[in-house]
Amino acid sequence: MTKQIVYVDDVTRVVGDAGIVYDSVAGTMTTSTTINATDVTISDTLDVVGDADFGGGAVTIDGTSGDVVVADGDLTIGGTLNANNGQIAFPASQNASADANTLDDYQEGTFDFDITFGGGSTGITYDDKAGLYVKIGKLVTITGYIKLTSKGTDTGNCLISGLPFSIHNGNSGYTSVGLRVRNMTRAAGEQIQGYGTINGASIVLNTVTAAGASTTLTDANFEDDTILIVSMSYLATA
Amino acid sequence: MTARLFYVDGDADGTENLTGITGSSASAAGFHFAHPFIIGASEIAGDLEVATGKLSDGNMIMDADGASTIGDVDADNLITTNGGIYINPEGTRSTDVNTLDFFEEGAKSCRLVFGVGFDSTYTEASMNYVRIGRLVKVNGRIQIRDLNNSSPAGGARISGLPYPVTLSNSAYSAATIYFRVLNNPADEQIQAYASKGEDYIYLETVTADGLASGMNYEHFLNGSTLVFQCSYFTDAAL
Repeated sequence: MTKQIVYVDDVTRVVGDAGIVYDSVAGTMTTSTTINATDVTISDTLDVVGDADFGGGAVTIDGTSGDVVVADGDLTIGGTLNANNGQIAFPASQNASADANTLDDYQEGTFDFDITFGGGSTGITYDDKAGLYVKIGKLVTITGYIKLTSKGTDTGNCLISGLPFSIHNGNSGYTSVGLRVRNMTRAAGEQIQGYGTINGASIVLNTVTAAGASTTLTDANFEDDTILIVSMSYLATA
Repeated sequence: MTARLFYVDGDADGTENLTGITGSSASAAGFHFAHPFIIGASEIAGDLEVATGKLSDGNMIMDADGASTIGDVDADNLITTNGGIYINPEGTRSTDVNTLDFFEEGAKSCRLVFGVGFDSTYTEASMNYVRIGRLVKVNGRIQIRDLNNSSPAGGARISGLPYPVTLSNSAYSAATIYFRVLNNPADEQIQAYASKGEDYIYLETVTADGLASGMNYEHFLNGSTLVFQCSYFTDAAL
């Protein structure tokens, strides 16, 4: 049932007939026109299907229990977005954006490293192999600690796997690794270094000679009590 | 049935209110509010919902010249800010892994410490840092003017990290370091790491046999220069 049509001219008058329809049966109010008002207090839900244009005025949401819910549209802020409670929550599943200026992910977590020699890990045991990570947009930063109690019996090139996100696929995704090693051997005159493998989630360690020759570390460079501390920042695929 | 649609308090006392939508919902297009738009206030707090998907999508656009403050946001699309995002450093820290709860840029002085003290003078000893959530990234430069000849005992550490490293093996972090003018024994590799539970970067040498030892006073000279960088995790509650 159509119940009433009113036009709010300003805050001092209520006059009629400007296209606002209130259906007292359905409990809905609709309008296709414009309402100009000074202060408006709504103690229940206001559902705006189109745009809500607040001009130069302020929007105040009751701080005790009121939420601003943007179910499907975007929220555009002309000034600064203030998180007075100190928190900005992102969804657990990233909604990746291709825009270079859009922060689309934040995630903190833990992960485990795994070491293989020649692709095998027979008999390798650890005192600890724990890592922390944070992903901010595409940027992933990891830290971690690996302490062996046995390097096992497999032989061949060493690979450290288990990074929480794959590294960007492309030469620009290569990233060097910060290392602190203990009980890891090398030939005199060599340096130990490491890098993240592109389009993968692994770290390769190698030695480099004074002449620049590089060789991947193998089981022979490890001891049963080798300790590694690693850190790395890299770009993920999304 | 009472079907009061609008009540306008037009007593010209400057606190005019348009009320009376309680208990119903309003679907409208083209509302324009030139002055504060208040939901809830001291009454029953409600939600402001923009396009819940019942009809077409809509945006909420705040054109205010100043900052827009939002206490709580649930949005599955984008938050667009034409200014910045301010996260109140005094706000509540979150344990949710997808919640960004801290951002801070800063600068600090740092020192090269031997054992428990220092008495060198510096040409430069400063670092910059940024903290994003739990992640802290520091970079800095120390150049010693006068090492002093007091021969202090103890291992060499860079002091002054802005936040302590989380007390967990997974929080150990390797630092990268550039150095010049050092008494570095032949064929020893210099490495550095941030230790769990502390606010220091430890400096070490490691031999080809994998024996790591803390650097000390004897490794440095007047004019010794260290450039360092380290990313590490601090406690969520800090």
